[in-house]
Amino acid sequence: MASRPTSEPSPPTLPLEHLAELSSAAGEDRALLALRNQARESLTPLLLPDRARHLWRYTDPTRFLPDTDPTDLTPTDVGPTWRLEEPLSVAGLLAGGALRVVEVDAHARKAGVVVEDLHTAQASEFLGKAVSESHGFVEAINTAAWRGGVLVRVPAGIELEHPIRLRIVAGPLTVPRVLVVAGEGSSFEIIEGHVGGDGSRGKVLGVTEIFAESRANVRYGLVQRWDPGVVGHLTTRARVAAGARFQMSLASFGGSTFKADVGAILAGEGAEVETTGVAMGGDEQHFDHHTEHIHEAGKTLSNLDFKVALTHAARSAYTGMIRIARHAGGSEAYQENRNLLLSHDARAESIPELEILTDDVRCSHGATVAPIDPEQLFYLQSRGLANLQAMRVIVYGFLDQTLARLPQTTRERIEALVAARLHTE
Amino acid sequence: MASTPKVADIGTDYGQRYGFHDPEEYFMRTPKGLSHEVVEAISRLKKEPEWMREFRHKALDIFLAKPMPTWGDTQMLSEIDFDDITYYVRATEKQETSWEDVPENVKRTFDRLGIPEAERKFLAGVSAQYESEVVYHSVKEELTKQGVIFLDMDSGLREHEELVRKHFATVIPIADNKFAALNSAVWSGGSFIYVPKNTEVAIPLQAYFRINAERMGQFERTLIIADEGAKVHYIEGCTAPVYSTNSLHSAVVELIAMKGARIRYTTIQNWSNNIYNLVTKRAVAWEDAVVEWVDGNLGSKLTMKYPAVILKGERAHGEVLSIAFAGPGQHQDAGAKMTHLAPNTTSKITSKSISKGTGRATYRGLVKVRKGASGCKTSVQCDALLIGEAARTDTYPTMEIAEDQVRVEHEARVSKLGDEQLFYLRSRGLKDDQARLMIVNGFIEPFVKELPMEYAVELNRLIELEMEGSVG
Amino acid sequence: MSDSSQPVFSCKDVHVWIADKEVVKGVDLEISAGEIHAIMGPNGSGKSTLANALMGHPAYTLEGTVKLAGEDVTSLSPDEKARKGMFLAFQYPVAVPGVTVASFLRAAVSAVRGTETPVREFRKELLSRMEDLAMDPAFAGRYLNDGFSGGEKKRLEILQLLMLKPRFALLDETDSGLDIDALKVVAEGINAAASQDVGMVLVTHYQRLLNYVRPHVVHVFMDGRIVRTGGPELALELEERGYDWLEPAAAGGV
Repeated sequence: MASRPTSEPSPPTLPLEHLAELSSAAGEDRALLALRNQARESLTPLLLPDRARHLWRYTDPTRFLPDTDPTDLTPTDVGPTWRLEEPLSVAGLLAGGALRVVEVDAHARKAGVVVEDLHTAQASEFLGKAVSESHGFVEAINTAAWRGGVLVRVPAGIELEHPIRLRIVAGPLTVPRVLVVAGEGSSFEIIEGHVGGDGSRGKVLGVTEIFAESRANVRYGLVQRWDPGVVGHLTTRARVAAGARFQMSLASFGGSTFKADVGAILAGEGAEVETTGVAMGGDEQHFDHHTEHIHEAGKTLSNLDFKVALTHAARSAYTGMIRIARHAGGSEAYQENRNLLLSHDARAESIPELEILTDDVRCSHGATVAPIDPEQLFYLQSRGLANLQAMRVIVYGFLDQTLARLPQTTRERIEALVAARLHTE
Repeated sequence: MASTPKVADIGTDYGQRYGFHDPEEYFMRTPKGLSHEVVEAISRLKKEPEWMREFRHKALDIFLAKPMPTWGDTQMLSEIDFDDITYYVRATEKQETSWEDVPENVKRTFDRLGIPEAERKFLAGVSAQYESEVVYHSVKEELTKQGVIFLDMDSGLREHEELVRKHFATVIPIADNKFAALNSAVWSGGSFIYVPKNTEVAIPLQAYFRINAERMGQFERTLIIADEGAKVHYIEGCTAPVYSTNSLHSAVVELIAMKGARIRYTTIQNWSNNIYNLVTKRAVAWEDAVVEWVDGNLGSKLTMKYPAVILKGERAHGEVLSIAFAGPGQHQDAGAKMTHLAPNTTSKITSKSISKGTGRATYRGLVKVRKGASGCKTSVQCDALLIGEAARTDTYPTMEIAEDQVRVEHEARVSKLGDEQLFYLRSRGLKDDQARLMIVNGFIEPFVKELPMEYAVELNRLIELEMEGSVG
Repeated sequence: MSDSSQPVFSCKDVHVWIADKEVVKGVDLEISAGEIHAIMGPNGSGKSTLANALMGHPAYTLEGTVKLAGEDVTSLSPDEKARKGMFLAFQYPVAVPGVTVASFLRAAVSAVRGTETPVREFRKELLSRMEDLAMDPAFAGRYLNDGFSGGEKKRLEILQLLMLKPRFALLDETDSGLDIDALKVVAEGINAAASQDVGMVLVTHYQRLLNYVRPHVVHVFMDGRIVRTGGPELALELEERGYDWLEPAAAGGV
């Protein structure tokens, strides 16, 4: 019921002094500089979100304000080298504010897969079209000051056997930008992995835009395993065209404060989106996940399954929006969020929301928050499992159905991370 | 009835059945608009104790200082013109205990609404409020003998000042929200009920609220105290004439269920669709107490109402069972709030809504479990039925859980009135509108079966009116 | 009950489309009062589509002529058809939660008979019919098909058949999902209706029901058409030999 003023009394200012230098040093064209300037305009004055509105109810937006000027070009450490251990179609490393390693395997190269430095790529047709500067202040900061970006473009009709893997290494202040364009009927898996954290002091403000053109089949994974102490905000939006299928896998493990705003716009008839997520928090980690499935076209289908397991004094807030627009009849949308509290001090919030503007739909959502079932625990213990072991088994069980929905390679990777996490508890 | 505007959107004969109005020949009314003078006039007229007078003035300052809510239907809210409303209107000189003594025009209104008849048949006590004041009040003698107090709020304050002062605004403080502050400043009428220890009021008490004047605000204030082990069921109904101008209804209802007490509060809200219905309802449930809000919203232009239970004592139980019917142009923004402060408390929210035409039904809810309230269980179930491609439904549930030893469940489903159901019923000879009505009645059956029989019949009839002309 | 000079039901050159797909490709039928026809055919042959389309399901487009006791009812709505004495027993009756069997049936009986049956009289009739079908009286207070087992749903369909007393009934796979006792009860209901001059079409792909209900005419339905018509012996032949041997005939008919 509290009604607060919609902005701070004296808005903090954000230094973006070297925007033009950043742009010219990176060799950008005028159009891109114009986009950056436009975003900078939208930040003056810097209006922080109204915290009475629930999207920012659980996380203090000022945590994501950069401590230094993000356009400051002081070179930063690029982090450890990356050893590739699996067959990949593409490997891209964003570190120290630049695209560093790009490996494209022979098949992908022959197929015409493009992996380019986003600063110099010709991408104005797409950049800012799925996440604009008006999305929010974090996205506006990113649009104005992103540094280190990659464009991945898979031509129409191309199927990639091996995944595309992008690794983004967090430095003191990291503002990465990813743009993925999946041509008509293309099919591939792409994983965006976030690691590092500058000895736990890092801050990350990332934006990813994905365009799945008609009948494309994109399996996207967003895996966050920052060092402890990293504060980060990642925004991903996919625009899914007619007949295209977009599968998104979220896995959140690291950082101290992490807010994710991920979603898809089902823009063409027959588009399908499936979002599957797991978050595992411990210590005093603070997770805030927001998902959105926006059905703009008819006969579209979306499904979401998001699971959260928390130990110690971890906190999680989940807000999920399903919106079915006025002329999107014949659509179906389902959403499920389950939270498992493994300790007395863990805390979870869940707000699954529906906005349905037409009648020819089928929608449902469900959410639960519950502790480990003592009956399950007792049963397993009576079969000889120690308390911690039994809890692990239960957590595996809790996550298993969700993990089973993931594409194979992502699944293996996330399962390994889950296992690692459980065994360090 | 010649001047009655088009009312097809709220049941085709709302105008005839409820939407009529009497001439506004009133005993007294304050000038339009809101000011300390108006507040002073109301308080003086009621010959209130000093503390209440101060309470009102303080509340007005808070109302004026608070911004309008930034959530909910801000568009519709912004259309309220607080200066164009009369905040106090008194139709009759005094309150009567016999219908014979109620002035003819007012009595006629309640006759048409069937209140005296209902009283004869199945009520333990009736309070009838017309504009700002209760014009008729009567309680069965047995209840008075048992020590049950059932009065209008003004009489309650006069006759039981200490009891009122002890509990008034303890559940909903003045500054709770802008509209609670408004009510606190200009409240008039409503019910005051006290049920002594271990006393059971077996048949319901009823209050009926009627707004007759144009551009008028009704701000009743209700306080119900069920002492340890007591049990009471209170029912309220409301209607108003159909005007093209808007009126405001902003009630504050506080319930206190002491240890082991049980309160059921049933509302059939059927305001005409020019009424803003912005109501704050909240209960406190102590150890082993049960509070149930049974809340039906059919009328009004915009309703914003989220009945709440604060579960303060161990094993207390709170329940909200609600239906909302949003016809064309209406927005029913309703929901529930449950705050679990004590261990082993339980709550259940069941919300059913129907959106028809351009109607919009919103479920907005909050379930909160405080640290230390272990062993709590809470479940929320929302079902929305949509009729027509311009219909809208929203579900905004919030769950804030600060305790691990709890079970919290939320489920929501949205569906269209089913083609297969329709075909099945029609293949059995039911006409299209008959089949639709049957499906809708089935949909709200879990709510209807909680109502006393007479109300169930009335509600089914109201739904029938709402469903008229829903074909295609 | 009906004019014996003309069939209680007939349809001529009926084609049915689901969206752009033609599922029923020209069907003629003629059923007299008290006569039982069986339409047998493999799964997916379009039998259920035909039954639903004849009743006027909005998802199907029907072309051709449908007559009830000589009156053209092709373009009537399902409720109009029901009021003129047509009945469809559904293969998958849908649940309507919150509506009791008794209140639904009373509304349906009133609609079809065109008069309100007094509550007491209706109740007596309902309980008596339920007894005939070995149904627990508590059934009347349950929500329509809500949480019913397959057998309960089918019994309720037959109960409706007996209560609504149509001139003509289409029974769509009424025998599927029934145990032997339920099957006998259902068969008795069908025979009782037939003895009261109801014309009937049993749509089925098993011979099972036909052990208890003796059809006068058996039609074999494949790929949207009636490919063969014969007496009750045809059903036995199908039971023995399956449908495969008829394929060439079907193909030949194109």
